[in-house]
Amino acid sequence: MLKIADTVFDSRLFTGTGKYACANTMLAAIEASRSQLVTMAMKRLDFHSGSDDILRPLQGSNIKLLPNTSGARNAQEAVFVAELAREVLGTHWIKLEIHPDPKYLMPDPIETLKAAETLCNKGYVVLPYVHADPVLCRRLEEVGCAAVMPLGSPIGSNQGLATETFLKIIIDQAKVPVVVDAGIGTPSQAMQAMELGADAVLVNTAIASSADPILMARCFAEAVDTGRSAYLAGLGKVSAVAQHTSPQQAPLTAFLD
Amino acid sequence: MNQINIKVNGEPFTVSKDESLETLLLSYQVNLNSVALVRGGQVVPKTLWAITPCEADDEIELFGVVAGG
Amino acid sequence: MSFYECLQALPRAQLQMSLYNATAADVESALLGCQGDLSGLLALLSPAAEPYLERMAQQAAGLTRQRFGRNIGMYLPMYVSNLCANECDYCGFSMSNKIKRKVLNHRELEAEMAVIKSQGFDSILIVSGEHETKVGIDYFASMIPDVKRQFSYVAMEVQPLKESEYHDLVELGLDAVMLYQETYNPITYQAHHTRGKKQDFQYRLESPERIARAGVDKIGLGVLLGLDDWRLDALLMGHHLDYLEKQFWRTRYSISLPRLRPCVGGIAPKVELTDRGLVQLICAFRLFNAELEISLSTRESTSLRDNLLGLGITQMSAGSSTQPGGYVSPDTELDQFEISDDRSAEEVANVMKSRGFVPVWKDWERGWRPTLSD
Repeated sequence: MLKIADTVFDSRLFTGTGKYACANTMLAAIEASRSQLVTMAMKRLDFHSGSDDILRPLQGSNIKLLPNTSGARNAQEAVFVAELAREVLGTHWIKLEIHPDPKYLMPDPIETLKAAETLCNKGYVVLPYVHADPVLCRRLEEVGCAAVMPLGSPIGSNQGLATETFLKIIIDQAKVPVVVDAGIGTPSQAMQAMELGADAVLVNTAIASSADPILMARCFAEAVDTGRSAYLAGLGKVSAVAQHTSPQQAPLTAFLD
Repeated sequence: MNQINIKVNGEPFTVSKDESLETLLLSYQVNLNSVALVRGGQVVPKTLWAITPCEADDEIELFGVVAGG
Repeated sequence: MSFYECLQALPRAQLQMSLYNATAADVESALLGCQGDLSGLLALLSPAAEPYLERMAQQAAGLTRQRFGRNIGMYLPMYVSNLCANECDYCGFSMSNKIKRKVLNHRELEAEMAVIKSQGFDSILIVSGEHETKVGIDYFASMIPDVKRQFSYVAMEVQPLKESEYHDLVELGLDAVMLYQETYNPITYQAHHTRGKKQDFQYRLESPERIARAGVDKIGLGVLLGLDDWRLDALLMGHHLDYLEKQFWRTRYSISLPRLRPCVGGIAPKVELTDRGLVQLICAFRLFNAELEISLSTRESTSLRDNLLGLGITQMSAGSSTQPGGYVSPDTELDQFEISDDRSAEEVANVMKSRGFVPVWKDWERGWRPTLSD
């Protein structure tokens, strides 16, 4: 069972609410994903275009809401957005994401660490979105983050686990849950992340932008379950070369005979 | 005149003097449970809306939730 | 959560069962890669791994070469005192032993260091018996600046200290602390430590945490192999290492694998560790942790030490004396334990070179951190 801060999750698939054609599809897809944690963003209200109220149906369910700080370009803005989110949603959970770079949306490690420290001190449950940087993840853990969310590849790029080598290090070291976020484009990639030992994955674009988001959400749910089970069952190890049955060099232990 | 000028999300707005933030929000027909109110850069907690009056030249920002990943 | 609590929560009996029930398949799986994997370490420490010793050695040698090249770090212990306020039945320094007691004064210390320095060493290990009142923090604080002036890397192996004391010593030039738990079995521990502060199993066990918090560069762990079931003790040391690496990731770690040796009034090993077993231990730890430093003392024999080069050892002492003042005036009557390899540092270095290894006389110099030494 996955536990973040004091909340237990049955499902290890987290989803987002972005990029859906309509709120109904979104709700149906989230339901099909069996996700118990969904992300959303904060925005200044626009009275001229009617807003689709995504919140009301989600608030009625037992799904936990995870507001993010997207749009924040530095630590100060992120802390402000977190305060707004707490006010709007009544949650002290926050997905901390700070990307000053509009093209690739790469997270800013320095501002993220600063904001994380401030927010943790203020009592927030902070889940920072970061590059797959093992030292940064340790530093975030040290300031009190409840989980870390390293990226697989650029947000929305569907490139999968381009950071696999570093994700393995992070997973090996982490004392808090590791949620692979961003870049997971296919169920097989989600499964791969779970096989590596990730505690959960966050998938939005790949589900929302599919031709059949509801079916795709179900596929991801199954892939995450399977990946987790495979991890628990213990995967066979890969050997780079055939195992020599006899040593290729002079024996090293002959002196013992 | 009992009217004062304020700005809400950048747009000019006129309210009666002493009108509370809560009354202002109701006139916008927003769901009070899904909005955050910022006045002069500071978040005003929900609990204070009913007892906090609008003041002349207030710059008020309203924030809500939007779909996102 | 401290490691003491972790150790209490570990299912000791079950781990021991697993060690003796491990199968060839478990070992084969571990041989496909078990970096950081405690169940892999268990398999490699088990009797089931014995037939795989050559393969373990080949892999351990490869990993060691990949990480450390052909370098072997050279260090020398400098015994500064054999005073001890403890009774440990395996140790020649035990308080009830009728031996001549001695604490080096400033002049004697300088004389010892001059001899050690002349042999080429730039990395030193200060060793003392455990006597808080007579050889405590004040003594160490007064001598470390002098030692630091002569040696770029200063390690110590003395009684456990307080966190603030370690912190002060780091400021004075201390780089590393070796502190061996001797055994991870609290019952065996109590049986062998019958008097003195060393009886406090928990305080000793939690010392590496204080040392790491104080900002010490390197921490050495160790068990006295033979006090208890060495396979289980080694496995639990693996757990300790794993805990420390996760909690205190800025610190370097080393282990020592001392076998119980005869000493004045001492005891015989309860569980004998053969040479073959020692090789298995070294290789298992290398396959478990590629970065781990493994040091080997002169307790081991000449031929064994020479053959262990390259298998995983990264640090070696040579030409050691285990008595205070022993480099200036050798006299075996005060020894803490018997030395098996009594060759000089130069002789050992020459053997290393002839076998393709590079003796390195210096460990690590902190260049950008000012110390009080002038």
